[in-house]
Amino acid sequence: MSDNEQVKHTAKLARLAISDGELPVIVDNFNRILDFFKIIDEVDTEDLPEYSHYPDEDQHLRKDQTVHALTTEQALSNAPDRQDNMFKTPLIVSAE
Amino acid sequence: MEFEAVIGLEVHVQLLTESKVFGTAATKFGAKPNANIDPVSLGLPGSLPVLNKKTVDFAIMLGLATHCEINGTNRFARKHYFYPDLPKGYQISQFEEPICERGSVDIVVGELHRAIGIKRIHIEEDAGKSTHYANGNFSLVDCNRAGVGLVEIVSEPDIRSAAEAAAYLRKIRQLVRWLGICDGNMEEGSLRCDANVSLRPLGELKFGTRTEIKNLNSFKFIEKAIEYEIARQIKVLRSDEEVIQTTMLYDSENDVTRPMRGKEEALDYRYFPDPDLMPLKIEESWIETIRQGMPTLPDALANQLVVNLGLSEEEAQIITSERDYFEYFQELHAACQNPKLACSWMTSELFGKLNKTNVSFTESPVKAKRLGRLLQLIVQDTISGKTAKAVFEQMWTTNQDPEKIIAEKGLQQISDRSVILNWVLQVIKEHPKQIEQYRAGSDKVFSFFVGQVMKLARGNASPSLVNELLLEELQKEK
Amino acid sequence: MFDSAKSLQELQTAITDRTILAQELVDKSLTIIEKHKQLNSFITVCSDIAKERANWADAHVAGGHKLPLLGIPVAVKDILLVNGTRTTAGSRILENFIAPYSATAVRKLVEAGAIIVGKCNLDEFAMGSTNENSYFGPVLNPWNLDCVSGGSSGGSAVAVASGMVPVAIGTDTGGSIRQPASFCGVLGIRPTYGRVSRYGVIAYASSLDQVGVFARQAKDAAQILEIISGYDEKDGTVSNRSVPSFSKDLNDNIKGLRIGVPKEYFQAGLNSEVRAAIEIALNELKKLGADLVDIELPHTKYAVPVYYIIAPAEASSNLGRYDGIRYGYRATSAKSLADLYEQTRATGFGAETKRRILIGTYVLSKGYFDRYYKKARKVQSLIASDFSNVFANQCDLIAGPTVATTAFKIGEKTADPLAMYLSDILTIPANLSGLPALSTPCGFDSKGLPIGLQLIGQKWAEQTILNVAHSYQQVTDWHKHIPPISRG
Repeated sequence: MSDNEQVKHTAKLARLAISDGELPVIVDNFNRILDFFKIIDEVDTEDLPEYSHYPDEDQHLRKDQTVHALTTEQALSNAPDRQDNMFKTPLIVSAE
Repeated sequence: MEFEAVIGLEVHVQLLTESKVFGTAATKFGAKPNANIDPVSLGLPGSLPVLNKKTVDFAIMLGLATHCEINGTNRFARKHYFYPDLPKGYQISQFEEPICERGSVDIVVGELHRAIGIKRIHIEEDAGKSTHYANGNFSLVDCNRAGVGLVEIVSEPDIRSAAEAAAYLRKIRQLVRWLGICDGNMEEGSLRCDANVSLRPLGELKFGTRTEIKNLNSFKFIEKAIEYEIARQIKVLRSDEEVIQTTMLYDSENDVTRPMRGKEEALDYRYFPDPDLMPLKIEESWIETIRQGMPTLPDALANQLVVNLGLSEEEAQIITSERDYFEYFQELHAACQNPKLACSWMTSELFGKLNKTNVSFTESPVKAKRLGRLLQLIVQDTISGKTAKAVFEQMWTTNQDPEKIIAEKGLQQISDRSVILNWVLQVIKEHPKQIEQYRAGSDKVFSFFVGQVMKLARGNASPSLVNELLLEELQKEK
Repeated sequence: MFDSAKSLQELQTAITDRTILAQELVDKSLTIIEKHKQLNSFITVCSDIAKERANWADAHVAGGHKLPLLGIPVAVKDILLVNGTRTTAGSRILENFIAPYSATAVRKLVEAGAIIVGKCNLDEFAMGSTNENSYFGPVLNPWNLDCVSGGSSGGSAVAVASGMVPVAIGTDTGGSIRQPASFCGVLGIRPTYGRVSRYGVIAYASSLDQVGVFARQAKDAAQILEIISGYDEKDGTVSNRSVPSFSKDLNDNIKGLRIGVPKEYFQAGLNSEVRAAIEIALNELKKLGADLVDIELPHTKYAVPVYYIIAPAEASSNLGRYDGIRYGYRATSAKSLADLYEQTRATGFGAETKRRILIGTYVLSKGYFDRYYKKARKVQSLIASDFSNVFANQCDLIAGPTVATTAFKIGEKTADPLAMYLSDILTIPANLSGLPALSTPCGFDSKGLPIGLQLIGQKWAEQTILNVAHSYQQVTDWHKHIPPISRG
């Protein structure tokens, strides 16, 4: 079971603001879903391999070649805010 | 109580591939902001990483050069954190299964030879670059660097001093430049280093609490920062306090380390295998192909220079510190067949001149072929060493062949016995007083006679012949 | 309304014979889209580009050129990027995002001459089973406007069901093609994982996402599928094996094929009318010469929890890029960077997306990774083994219901995420095992809502399930039924 603090911590990790008003419903859903996951605990997975979803055996590698895929204008065309051909953000304070 | 420093370095090496590690954009440094962009670099919706084979080639090469084991299967994982210059919200890296493990490099500090263990080398992608404008309260993000291929080399905590740390980093830089996988430019950030520093009482086996110093972008700073941090920790421990595990930044202006702001929140990177990238399988044949294509490593060559050519260890280290140096040296040596001469000309004359004029080695106006011919002329006794230095100066400024300079300036050495003998006899005849002194046993005057002969010869007489004939004739005067 | 009895090939012949112009086809498509606007099946209609392309196609035909899909109107789920066109993933966070490149599947369609008439509505980032999670509102079921279309590819299913386009593209991560196909009375196929490139497909759960096709006829689905399939240097997980000519190789001889009927797919919760329809359909297949074999897939009950650990885990990672920095919506109220992140994501994502991000973040976080994510990946291998075991020993393909019920009422399950999750129980196992699967119409319930028959094939054996669907469609006409609003 998870408490409010744990959900808040998880939301922080995921960078999702949660208001105090919505918290109870979120925590309730969260706990019901986690509770639902418990059914897999009954499976003995000790010696089982993890599932591999990859379709082929052989590696899919790329040659070291440049392809100019996007122009600077294309790269910036969807930016919410920009300046001097760069993406503009509020000041990064935890900066290096 | 005496303390021992325990230091481990994490070195990020930016790889000299044409295109990025998972995307097809160019990697060229110095491009205009957001010019080297493809959907992958920007983490656009729907973009997918496809691994650049050359990146793997380079990582294998470095693994072999550092005596690592190359893992037959390794995986890429996503490392999650939010930062504006990290486009996808995660960095593709290797976590549990890196490409190389358990290697070592040898370093020399003074007389001390040490092997520093390499814990692992893994492949990852670089982040973009942010520039901060505190006054305007904003930052700007350029994604050109985002997705450029890196290898991170993690050392064992085997380093015991700031000097060793610098030597280790130099060794890494030498290797990656030698292999041609990185330009080693610390200023431009192609080689970056973080240091983990802790102290323990001498003799104690358990490690103390460590701090991590980030962003050490020059050899000078790495030494100073570690020295400062060691001194700081000693002070903390001596006053019976505890070192707190933190991330520090080195402030080069004030020569201090400071805890980084905003890092207090415990990070949880939530690593998990990247579902977009298959596990990377490296067959023995792939490793063998890389091994075949690798140049002989500098340590082995330095050893050959000492054993086969009689250079001192220090000389050999300098010659092999860069591949270009070694190749230059080889040409000089091939021309003059005198390793000592080749070495001293390269390390004192050439390097001295480069230093004085602030010219880089690759831009030196005197190429190996020409300098080799000059050395050849010395060995053949066509010119004296002293004359050669003057010729070298001319070569530097006029960009001409040594033979031409010598011919034009009449600097050719005079080795005709009869000509020199005439000068010798003239000097003896003109200086009866000094002959008296010589007879009385003063050896000092001998150099006076040499000087006088050279004066008549305008400095072009073969010094050995002058010596020989002077001695012969003075003997007769006794 | 596109004639439900006409195949793509017939349309194509008409275009090459110039008995119909691409311009007319596209106009027809755009008119019907406009007419049934209230179904909300499109987020963006590309009228101008489509008309331009139609002119081009007609000129191309006049010039004597041929292309397999020349002039055919196609609708694409708004999770595949189309260069120069808005691509939203059904989310506010991408409300104004203009794609600067095209998905490989889209590129292949366009290169084959197809004309993209619009971008179909979907559950936000393909997370949902009803299309109620779209920022652009729910898609209505053309058979009953009070009912959901199913999801997440609801818009694509409805576009075909209501005759707006002959074929549409969707994606299927846990049933997102088959389930709405079943609810809307059309055929929907998701191929083997790795068959179609995911490049340019906005990722939800990367290890499970696959692009697939909606059509009425198996033959049409086969043709579209063979065009969009195959190796792509831009996707490291797409297979390099060659793609069969699904449409050419299509046949209706299923004699001796062993069809496994899993007992787990017929348990409590299965609506009796659905059960009855499926049993009749199975009997039809038997009459066509197939052998029905009772099989067991004992780990089926773990599929939903395993899916809802793995898919959200990957989603939480894939959706980290929506931060309001380089593209997409940015919360304007934010004063600091931390604020910008949290507000942008809190207001840019819908409730279900945030729920899955939270769950996914949690199962990957320190101390929980082994217990949830790693454990789930192991149980997933058991679910996949269930299939490989029966395919090795008992049957050539599997048949059963696609969904345990017909389409439910809008709003009926929105309050209870778990009830919603459980509605995917019959479609999720194929995704978790990377298998190809389709749903084809096989009847109606007493309320007149369509029922779907699900066929699950072995890896890379799309041909087998397409053949069975084709054979079934030769002797039934469920796939030709037209919803009331499209009649007359």
